[in-house]
Amino acid sequence: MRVPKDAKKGPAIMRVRLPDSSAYESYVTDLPVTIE
Amino acid sequence: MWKLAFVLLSCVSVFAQDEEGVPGEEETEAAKGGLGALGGALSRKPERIDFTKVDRTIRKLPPLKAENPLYGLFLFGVDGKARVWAVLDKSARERKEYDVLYLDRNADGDLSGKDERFEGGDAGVFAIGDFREPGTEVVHKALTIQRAKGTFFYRIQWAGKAVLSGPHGPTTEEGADLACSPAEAPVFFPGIERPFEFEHWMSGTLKRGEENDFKVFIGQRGDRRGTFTCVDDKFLPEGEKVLVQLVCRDTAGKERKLTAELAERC
Repeated sequence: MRVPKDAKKGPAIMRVRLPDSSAYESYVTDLPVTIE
Repeated sequence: MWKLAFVLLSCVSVFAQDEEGVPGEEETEAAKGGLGALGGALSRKPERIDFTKVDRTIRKLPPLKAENPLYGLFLFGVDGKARVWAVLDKSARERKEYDVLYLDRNADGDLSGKDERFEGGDAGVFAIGDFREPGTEVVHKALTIQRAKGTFFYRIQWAGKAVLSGPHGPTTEEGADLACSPAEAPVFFPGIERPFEFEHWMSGTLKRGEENDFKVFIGQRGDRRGTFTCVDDKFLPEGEKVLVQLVCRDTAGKERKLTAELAERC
């Protein structure tokens, strides 16, 4: 995963889910990440 | 490192900028038109569990020998209504490791049943085997609970459909251990019938201008950090990829959304 050079340093969110085509359901899960 | 054998991890292979590929909760639900993906077992999206409201009462315990018995609580069922306590004890007070497990396998709050005591030997491995989910006819296989050298672990073959393991945290050091009282006990919530959630795996820091791995577990959360129960890397159909969207700001303060697929498993 290449994070852009102009991304602001500090806390960010990685939003994760299964695709709509999945055989399974998921909650959208926001995982905290830090950009350095 | 032995936990790794049971973990699904995914690594980013594609990263497209400024797309709207990961909608929010409402959009996802509308797009899917409700559940039905799990064999039609669910007709509604279950509410997230409010773990602060979980009843922590233990109705009856056998006489315990350990100075500090250890407690953990497993929830079963789509709504987590079946409460199965696990209490680690010692066969003799002076033993170093916990070698006795009481498991409330019928979820009646009474751990004194004669089929609810297990011996784990010096290694602290409790091979429960078949486990009928309380209140159902569903039988899970090969339930194993282990605690050795301060590390707690469980594994179960879930209804012939998946191998689940836990507890997992976002780093190797953060798996939850059992606690010294029911009030402090971690709550674990294994299963595959609810919508899945995700947890980090060693990937909370991203570097600008560089390639970064991002890895997740897929499964269900417990009541705190380090209580995640995950499915293994064979569970999702082949070719199915987890979607992620990095929501951040650029140096000018503008919000950016970058989407990607987690394509690899390990």
